[in-house]
Amino acid sequence: MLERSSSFETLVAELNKLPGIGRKSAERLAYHIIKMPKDEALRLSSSIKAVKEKIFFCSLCFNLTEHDPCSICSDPSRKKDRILVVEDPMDIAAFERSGVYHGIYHALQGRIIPLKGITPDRLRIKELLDRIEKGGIREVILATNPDVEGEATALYISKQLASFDLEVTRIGLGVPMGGSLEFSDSVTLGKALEGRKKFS
Amino acid sequence: MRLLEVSLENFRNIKSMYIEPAPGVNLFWGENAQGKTNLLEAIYYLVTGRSFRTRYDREALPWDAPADTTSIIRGRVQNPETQYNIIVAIDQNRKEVSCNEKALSSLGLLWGKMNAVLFTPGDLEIIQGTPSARRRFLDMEGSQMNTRYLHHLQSFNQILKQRNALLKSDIEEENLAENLEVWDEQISEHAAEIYYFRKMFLERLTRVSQEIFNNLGDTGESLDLVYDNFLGQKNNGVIDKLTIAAIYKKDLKRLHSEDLYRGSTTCGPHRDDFIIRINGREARTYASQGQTRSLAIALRLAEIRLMEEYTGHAPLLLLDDIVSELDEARRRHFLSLLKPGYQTFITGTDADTVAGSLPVEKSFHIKGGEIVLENIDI
Ligand SMILES: Nc1ncnc2c1ncn2[C@@H]1O[C@H](COP(=O)(O)OP(=O)(O)OP(=O)(O)O)[C@@H](O)[C@H]1O
Ligand SMILES: [Mg+2]
Ligand SMILES: [Zn+2]
Repeated sequence: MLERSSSFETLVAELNKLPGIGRKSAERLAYHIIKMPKDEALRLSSSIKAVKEKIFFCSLCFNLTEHDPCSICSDPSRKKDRILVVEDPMDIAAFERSGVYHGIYHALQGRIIPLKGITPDRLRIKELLDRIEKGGIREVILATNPDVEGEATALYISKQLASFDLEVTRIGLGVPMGGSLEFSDSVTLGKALEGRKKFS
Repeated sequence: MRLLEVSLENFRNIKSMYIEPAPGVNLFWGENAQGKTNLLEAIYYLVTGRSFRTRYDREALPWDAPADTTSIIRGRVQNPETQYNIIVAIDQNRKEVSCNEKALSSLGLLWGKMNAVLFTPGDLEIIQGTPSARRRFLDMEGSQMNTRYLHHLQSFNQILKQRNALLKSDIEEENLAENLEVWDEQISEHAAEIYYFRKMFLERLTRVSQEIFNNLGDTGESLDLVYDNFLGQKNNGVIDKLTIAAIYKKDLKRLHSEDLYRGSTTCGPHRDDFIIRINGREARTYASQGQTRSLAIALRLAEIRLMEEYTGHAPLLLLDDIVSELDEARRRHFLSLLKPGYQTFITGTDADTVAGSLPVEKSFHIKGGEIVLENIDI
């Protein structure tokens, strides 16, 4: 058994802050890191440093990027008249992997969760409205997750968009209720996108 | 539906136990405080993933066991079509339920694989207790009979939590409507489903339990179950779900400022109740002890029949201390209403009392958390 040093405790405490990592898992990971070859462990730490220094959010769509605007926003072949609204950049990655969508995106950076104090003003909703106000957008597709919070977020945005001359749709079918977009396969996402419905 | 095997490890006062129940009546007998109810509770866990005694799963862990002990309940179930291996594992921090070696992400996935109707002395609470005891009865039974109902309940409760959090936050009154609307719209759809199910269920329950109540010996008395719901009389008897959702949504909107003032949602199915009347009088305050017992049993017997109607399967029957609670006449009546064909688990301190009135196939003498004697066909 290792003597518990303070640097070990710090590492455990930091790992413990990550989502889904409890105290026990944090300890297990910390022991694992201690046993790793030194160069491997340092690669991990420098890659964490690199993403924090190089990666930021696209100023237009809030996707993760190393260049602003991101590669999707600056791609001339993308159809710029439709915006697919998602919760997180991870959802953008899921749609990109599926290859079924050729428009541009907007990542809200979360969804409405009053229980965690996340109200609409904490999301990038205002930025979405600003983009639409500038014109050129004909369709907004709401692709928040199909659970109660995702639905509330979609409803909220659709009400904000009511005064614009736009087609507002919600992806439907396919994605299982209570499922998560990030883990849906390409076929499912493709069907969900085809089956989108006009928001009433 | 039949339970073929049950095995327990570290469940309350039971260190380790294995039983192969008979398809008919199984008796757990022994002195007080030996583990009979514990065994019944473990079987209930296999059916519902929950205890009928407590909301806190960790109470199942043996008191004197080391902190890293896991309570494990295993059951093998035979359905007409398939066999299921169900495992419930409980430790200090969590509970895991798996079916055929696959962990279930929610209890809703367990419900409906097996059904049970439980009779316990605690059932008197349904008649004498607060509205929440009656809602729990509706919700536990409804969820077993119809997993869609469980889905609507879970969604309703989740949205209710979000809505209440919003009402407790420091939101400005002028932003209130805009923020509440997105929850109101969703919650009213689930509320309508819940209303619709409860209404239908209570109507059928009234019909069936009235007949059983009369057969139980308290002859000639009328029994009514009246759904005391969040719509009041506003729906004028209409039970179209869209109409109900619209009425409720309007009510919620009307109560926005009131709800904000109170910091919670004041109107909805989470406040529902049903009123039990015998000969027009509310049983909660007017029923005698004997009537209360008969009533509780009539509701459970009615539940057996409804469960069969809804699911198409005969449920397991779990009877804790029921037989000893009834006088001779009621006991004979009660047991005669339990038609054969149900796999039954019954506890009692005295083996003969039960065996004298039910065809016991297997009996297990329980002492100090162990089976000290197992008999077939006593
Ligand atoms: N978590 C636990 N750890 C250890 N023992 C427990 C635990 N919970 C309950 N017990 C004990 O288990 C014993 C048996 O309880 P149980 O309720 O099953 O008795 P019973 O055989 O049904 O008795 P009765 O005939 O009085 O109803 C009791 O002595 C109780 O104190
Ligand atoms: Mg008992
Ligand atoms: Zn971008």
